[in-house]
Amino acid sequence: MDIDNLKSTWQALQTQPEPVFKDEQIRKLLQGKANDSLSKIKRSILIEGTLTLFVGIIFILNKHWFYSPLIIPYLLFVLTLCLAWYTFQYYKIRKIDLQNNLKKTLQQLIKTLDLYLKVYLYGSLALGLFASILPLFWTNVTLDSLTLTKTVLIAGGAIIFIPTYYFVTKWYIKNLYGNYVNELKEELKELEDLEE
Amino acid sequence: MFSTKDLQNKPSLLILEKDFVAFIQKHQGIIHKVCRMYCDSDDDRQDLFQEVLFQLWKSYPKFRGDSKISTWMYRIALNTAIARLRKTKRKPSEFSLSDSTLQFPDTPPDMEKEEQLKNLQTAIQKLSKVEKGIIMLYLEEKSYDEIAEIIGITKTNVGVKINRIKKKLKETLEKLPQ
Repeated sequence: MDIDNLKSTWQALQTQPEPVFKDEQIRKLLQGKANDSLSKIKRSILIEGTLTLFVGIIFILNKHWFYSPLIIPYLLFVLTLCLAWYTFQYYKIRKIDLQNNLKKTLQQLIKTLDLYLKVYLYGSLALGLFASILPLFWTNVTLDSLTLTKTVLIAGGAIIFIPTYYFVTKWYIKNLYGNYVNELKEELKELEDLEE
Repeated sequence: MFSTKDLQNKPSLLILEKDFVAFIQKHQGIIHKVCRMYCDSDDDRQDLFQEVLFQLWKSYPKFRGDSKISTWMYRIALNTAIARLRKTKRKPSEFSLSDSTLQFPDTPPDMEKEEQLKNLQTAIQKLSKVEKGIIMLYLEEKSYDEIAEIIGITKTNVGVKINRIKKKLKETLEKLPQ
């Protein structure tokens, strides 16, 4: 096939019958749930934020579980930090505008997702550390030998659990969105290479 | 995005939705073209059609007419298709054309033309997502200025990229059985 005939061949391809959506079908499609990657990430941020808030409120309402009066400022500090982060990230993703050109859209997507995934990894690690500190605030903590044994066991568990958790989360993120971000980076590189 | 509840509460949104539906009815061909370019199956095409529809609906109130309607639609449709996270990574098949993808009319078949169409589609399937978008705009007779506006590269680089894609297509087409 002569390459200069591409356009006429393409035009012939475009004469193939296409499904035509009627008014009602378009309305029905509009009422469905958005399933694109950005909507999924927005939904998962909302779920994570709600869960964090829920767990935080449970702890605050049951402050009698903890002996230290510092538990409330400690919980409020962690909760505020988490919720501020979720709000920031949600609005950043919401701000991604697909009306921009492809290059700008890809740059914006990569920057936002890179940050989201990094903080997802290190943030969940920090939350793990936060959770392992919680027993120190627990009631009836005395320095008898049984408590010391328990503390050593918790510390030992944390030493094994935290790196395992880190690698499992890293693997999970890579499988969930890491390959996707790499794919976006390749697409952007293809455009940027032209500019060089 | 506006929800159905929002629409019930605000009559102006109902008017907006009516306008939008009429708008899509008129210009849906553009979305179908993009879906056909990026999807192998009917289900996948319908999913992408819906995703593009959502993005257009979200951006519709902000459309000020600064660019042509087709440029605006191609920009959103291509951004959605290229930045899409696919559930499973499918390898582009040698002949991914199902009967439903390429429905030939009931006229006596022009075997040579059919073969050309199949070969062109197969060669395009081997391109990257970005290359597919650029060649589609070129084949749709978009000017280099419009392609540059949609993709975000200079007009000169549009020319460079199109020549490279043509070369790639030619190489693939030469390898295919004639």
